[in-house]
Amino acid sequence: MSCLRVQTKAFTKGFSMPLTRLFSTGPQLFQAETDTKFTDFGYKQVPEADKEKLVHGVFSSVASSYDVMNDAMSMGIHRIWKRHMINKLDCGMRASSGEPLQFLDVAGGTGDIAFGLLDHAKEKYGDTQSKMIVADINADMLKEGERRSKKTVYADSPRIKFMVQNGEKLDAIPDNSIDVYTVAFGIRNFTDKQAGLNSAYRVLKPGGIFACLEFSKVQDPVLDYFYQIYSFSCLPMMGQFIANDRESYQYLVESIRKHPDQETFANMIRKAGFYVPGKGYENLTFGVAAIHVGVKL
Amino acid sequence: MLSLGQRFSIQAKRCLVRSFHSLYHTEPPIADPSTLENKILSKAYTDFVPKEGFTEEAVNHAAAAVGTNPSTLGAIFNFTTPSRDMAMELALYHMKFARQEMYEQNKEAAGKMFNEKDRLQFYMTKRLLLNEPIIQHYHQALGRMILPSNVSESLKELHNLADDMSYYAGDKSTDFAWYSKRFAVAGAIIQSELFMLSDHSKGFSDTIQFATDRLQEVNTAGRIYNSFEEWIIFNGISTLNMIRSQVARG
Amino acid sequence: MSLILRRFASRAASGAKYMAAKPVNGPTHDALSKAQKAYLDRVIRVDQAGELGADLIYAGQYVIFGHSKELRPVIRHMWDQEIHHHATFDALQKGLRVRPSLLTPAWKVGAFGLGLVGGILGKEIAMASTEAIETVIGGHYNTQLRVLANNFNDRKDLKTGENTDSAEIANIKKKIATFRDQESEHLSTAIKYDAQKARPHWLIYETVKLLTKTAVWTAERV
Repeated sequence: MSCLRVQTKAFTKGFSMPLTRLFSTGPQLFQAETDTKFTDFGYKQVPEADKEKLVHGVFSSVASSYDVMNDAMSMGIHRIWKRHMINKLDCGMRASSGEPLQFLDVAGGTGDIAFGLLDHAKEKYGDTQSKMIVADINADMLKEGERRSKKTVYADSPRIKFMVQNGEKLDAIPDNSIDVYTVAFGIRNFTDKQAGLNSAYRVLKPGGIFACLEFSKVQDPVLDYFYQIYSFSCLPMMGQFIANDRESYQYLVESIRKHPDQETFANMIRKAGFYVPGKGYENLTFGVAAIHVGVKL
Repeated sequence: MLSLGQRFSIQAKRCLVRSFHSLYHTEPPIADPSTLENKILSKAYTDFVPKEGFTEEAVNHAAAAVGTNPSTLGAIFNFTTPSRDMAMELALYHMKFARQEMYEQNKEAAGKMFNEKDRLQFYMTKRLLLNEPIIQHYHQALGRMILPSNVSESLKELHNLADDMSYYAGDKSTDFAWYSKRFAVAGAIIQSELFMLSDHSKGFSDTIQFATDRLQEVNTAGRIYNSFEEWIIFNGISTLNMIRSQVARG
Repeated sequence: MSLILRRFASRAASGAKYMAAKPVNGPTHDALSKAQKAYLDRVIRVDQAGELGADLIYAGQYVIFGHSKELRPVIRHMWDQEIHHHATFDALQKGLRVRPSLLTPAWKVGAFGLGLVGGILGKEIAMASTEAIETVIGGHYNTQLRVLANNFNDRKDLKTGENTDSAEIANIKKKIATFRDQESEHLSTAIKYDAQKARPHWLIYETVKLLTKTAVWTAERV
């Protein structure tokens, strides 16, 4: 009874009082006064032309300590999320089918999704033929991935290719050529996310799968409160200690808040032309991250 | 705070089986043909099950036939169903499809019948006969559904079937009898389906006879419970009255 | 005696008295969301169990006060209203395919027992428990009405394209509103018949209130 009453209060509040931002991060650097088109860079507004450069700066500066950073930020959970996504996608050439798969991992600099997908295909389906393209806009990140691939069975293998590519355009990748497109913790940094989704649709074969793992919105308001405290006060501090780079971490946290929530993003995927199975996403750890899927029909 | 959608969706998760059936609002079809998953399953069910049975192969072939890649099928199914088992999905599809057809094909004929018992028996017969086209592969489907990892999904579907049959037959129970009825109907369904697997009689007349006998037991089950409850209460009240009269006498 | 016995075994009736008539040309509104359905499911289950309880509480009190010239018509009047509420929710539960509470046998025994015991302990105590129960139920119905008013007005009419309540939702709202008014009448009746003269009033009042709240909480879920 009383429980029900509390719920009603939550209902009515939900309508009248949208979630207010808890933190503000100082004056905005740029004002939209001129004709220049602006986009968000964390909470700042920057000219569209500049975001790519700025993001590049962030990732170049963290490339070498990228994993340490991820581990620290997500307390190691990002590995479980990635594993979970690979298991759920469950891709691999079936014994009865003669056609190897062509994977594309966008913004996959360090390659952990790429290696994981190929490993899964081999372990579960004995697939040793499917191919992988790892694309990243940032050559520094990509080099880090190539360096790591030397330590795996895919060292110098023709099955895996590294390409510097802008995920919004994917110029070097032909239409209808990819079976599985994955992007993990990358689409958030795109200047134009819809353009990124449209190119994904373009390069996928009919029947191809789009899968995206990204930070999202925590659904429970109480948990979200603590999550925000954690991400806005602890994370930049950790960035300072671990990588001596507070600015980059501040950007990462803000870009997470700026990323569209589950429903909005699922609608963007639909807008790009994909068929979305079910509600289109699966929440991980209360919605801290979410996996989105789409199928090109 | 929470928006309506969020708070509601948290509530919705608690609801495991079919709930609240609206008459004024459209209800999605049981085996919704508009989803890609059901398109693949439906293709597999009509074109490939008769030859290949309830197997993963049948789903793979169907997936290729509707223009998706069998090697990435998991990505389409794993986000919408808890099972990772394509053969199980196919078996469930048969259950849902047959449940839907049981009502759609026979609602008019059933509407002309006068009592609940006849309607229940009629629906049961029609539902069992819907197994006929795939009967030689049906043991595979049942085998899948009783695997420990699949059994909870199967029981949900079994409950939905028993509930549909009882409701369409015109069940009016409003208390615990609601449960005993559905429980008994579900039992009759399972027994009849198992019986049907080894039935070679013409037109499955033996199975139909068997099911009729089981349903006879069901009809008594609800009554037995209610009579039992009445008996308890009657005795309770009598005892109380006796005590009262004794007390009053002093 | 048979009058009381019959209250224990009910069979859902249907008809315009209880439910919005079946739409002739199929559904009139687009689909309810999963969450809306889950909410209605709980509303009907808990209200059915509640009205079953109320019906039997008055039945229990009637066993005791049936011989009192003063109280007989009062209890009978309230009981008749509860019988109607109970029949309404039985019809809704059956017609809209909601699962009844699994604990109905317990509600039956508990409610009838509460009515009996209250009656045996005396008029004031019986009325004090009525006061407590009707207070909780009044608030409970108000909450439901608020949610039904706020969260079910986003469904499109298939013909006009406007967001309106379907006849089904409107009927449920109307029934709950009427019942709430009658329950609050019962509350005033209880007070008029010396509910607050019960000793110790606060103990009986709070205990029964707690019992009712627990029962509501449970019946929503189980």
